[in-house]
Amino acid sequence: MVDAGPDCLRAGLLGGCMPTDVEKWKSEIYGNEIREHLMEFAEDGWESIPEDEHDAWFERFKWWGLYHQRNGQESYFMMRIGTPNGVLEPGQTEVVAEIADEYARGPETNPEFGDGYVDWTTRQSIQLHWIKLEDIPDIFEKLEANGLSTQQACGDSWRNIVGNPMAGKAPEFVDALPVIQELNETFKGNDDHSNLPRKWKVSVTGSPDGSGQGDINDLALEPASKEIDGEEVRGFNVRVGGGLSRNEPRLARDIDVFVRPENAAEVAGGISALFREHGDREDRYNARIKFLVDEWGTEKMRRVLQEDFVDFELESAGEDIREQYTYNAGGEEHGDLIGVHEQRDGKYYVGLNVLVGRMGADDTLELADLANEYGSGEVRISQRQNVMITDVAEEDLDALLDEPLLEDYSPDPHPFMRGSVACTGTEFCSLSIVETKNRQVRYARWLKENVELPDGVEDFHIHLSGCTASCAQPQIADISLRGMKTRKDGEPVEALDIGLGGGLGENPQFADWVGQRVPADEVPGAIENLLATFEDNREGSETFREFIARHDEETLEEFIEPEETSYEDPYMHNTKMTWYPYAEDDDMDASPAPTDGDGNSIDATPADD
Amino acid sequence: MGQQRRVTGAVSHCGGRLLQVAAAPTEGVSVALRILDDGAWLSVNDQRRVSVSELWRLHAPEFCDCPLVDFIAEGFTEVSADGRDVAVTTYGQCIACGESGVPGKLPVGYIREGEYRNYDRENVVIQPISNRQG
Repeated sequence: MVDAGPDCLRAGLLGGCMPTDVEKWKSEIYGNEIREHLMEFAEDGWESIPEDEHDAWFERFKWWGLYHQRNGQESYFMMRIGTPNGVLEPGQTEVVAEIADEYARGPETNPEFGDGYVDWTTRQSIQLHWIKLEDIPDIFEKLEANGLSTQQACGDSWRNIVGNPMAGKAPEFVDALPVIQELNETFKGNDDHSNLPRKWKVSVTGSPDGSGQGDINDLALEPASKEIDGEEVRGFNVRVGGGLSRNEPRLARDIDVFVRPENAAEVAGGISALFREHGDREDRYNARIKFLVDEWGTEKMRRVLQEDFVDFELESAGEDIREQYTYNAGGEEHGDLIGVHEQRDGKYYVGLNVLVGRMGADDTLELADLANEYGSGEVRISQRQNVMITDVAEEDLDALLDEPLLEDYSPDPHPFMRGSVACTGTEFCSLSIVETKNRQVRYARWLKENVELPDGVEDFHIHLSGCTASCAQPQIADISLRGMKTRKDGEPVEALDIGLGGGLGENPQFADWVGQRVPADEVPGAIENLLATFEDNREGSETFREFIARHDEETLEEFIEPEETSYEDPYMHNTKMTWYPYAEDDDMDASPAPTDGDGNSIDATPADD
Repeated sequence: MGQQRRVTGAVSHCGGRLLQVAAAPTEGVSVALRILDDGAWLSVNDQRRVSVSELWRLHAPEFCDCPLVDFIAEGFTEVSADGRDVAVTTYGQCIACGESGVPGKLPVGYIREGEYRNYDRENVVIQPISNRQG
């Protein structure tokens, strides 16, 4: 017997401890130098990538923000554009819309979203689909001419840095945006940090609301203050090792370090270098720094950081302001930046709800136009997949709020609409087990039409993730939905596990998975029944999160009562086994992929299937 | 390609990248087997051949009490070769009883005349390799 590791074969036959294939590929060509090859392949066309090098090149292309789409969609790529802290500067939103309109069009259309659309992601980035290799040089040229980039948007390095999207505009305890910009400039394209054992997700938050979601990042800088030499200094406390993936959720852990803003890059770079040197490169499943923190503990983490990776004496942690966190904290305050809010310069920003984060190219262009007409042209992206138009004068607010686009992307949405988050799902993703975005759209609409929320409940988060990778961050929602399968009337159908009671705030809590394998068409009924149970058994003005926390797991399991309702689900079949779930002929054999640069099919079907 | 280094995966110095399938009828044939994208799929010679989210019927009495395990493949952690069989160590769940875990190395295909062929996984009962007699 010969065994292969998580991503390669480890040939016992040949002896020795071998690096994984991914690590070997990375050691040969990685980082900035991938681009030269990518451009040559693009110039010569899809078929120029040697067939026996597909795995290696597709792994490397991720570093430049390109992710090969799933089985049945060969030759098409998802392209991720990293926008630090979700800031789209004036003119950039229009560029994204134009690229989506021209290049992000596939061989079939999506029944909810049509063709040519933009996804605002839970990491304040942008994703486009159906990108053809041959179009990448033109897309890169246009992006980069306008200050945008796909560099390190995926792959094993510093990903897009997240935070409160309104950093620099909304009230802040400490200014985060200059720190985010410095970190981005320091660590994007930096050869010393371009090849890490695994992805490296960083959150920097200066606002007092907790909306940077630092707790679920590999590295979190959170607002804090400390008296140093008799003077109060504002900066950040450092937490390390948060993340949600692989059924192994972790909250970032306090390593007892306070950092001044001017030292943030050095300390963050030290931790990144520590991860580079000590992260597990032999087992990608064990590679994220959360597992190193598990193994070492926080004291060792701090000690090694101090001894080997930082040249000055680290300060112990300062006083945090976590008790002020309102974002997703389980209370009645929205905290999601939707609606009209005053900036600290007296102007306003208007947060618009984008259901499941997907917006058509035409609407994105209209968004850019509105941002130009009423604001500074800037648009910002939140971790709840929504967008904000900034810098609106008070006298222009009414006119902006009357714009037709805001009927579809509301600044005052129904709680079921504003609370919905969904990942990419089987439409494009290799890992997902179920269809997600269209389903969550249908859930939200049905719930809005048919279910009344109990009194006072204005904020209610339902996150749908297609698998345990948790890209929709289901563990921090009131109702967490995760892709699964079951049988119904003997037939296999798409199903969801249901979790309850997750959220962030001062005392974050991951959802408790209490409902198993609920057929997807019975989930809306289960939510309706659960909310009725909440209303009937609620104590006073108890919040939903408090209500869930008050009950034990066994009782919570009884609260999950799946039921068929008037809701209809068109995606109950195995959508992953289709080449595209919404195609009229969705059989894998009917796929036109792979295609050439003009979209014409190239026959590459394996011989035996 | 200038100074590009091709990753051709020659067995001689890649060590362990390619699998020498000892029982393959054609001596010396190598088949590259990899689990990629966080365990989302099995790559065989740089082609995606098995994906997570498939439903398999397993004869795996140690895994759960169901007469046949109604198993959803959620993630692949290893790939191995046993004779001509290609097997994936798979994390998943019995959707009948809810038991979850790793039922063992599950054969998903085989090598014949140097080429990988999928088993008809929808219509066969898969038996973990470690459970086989003899």
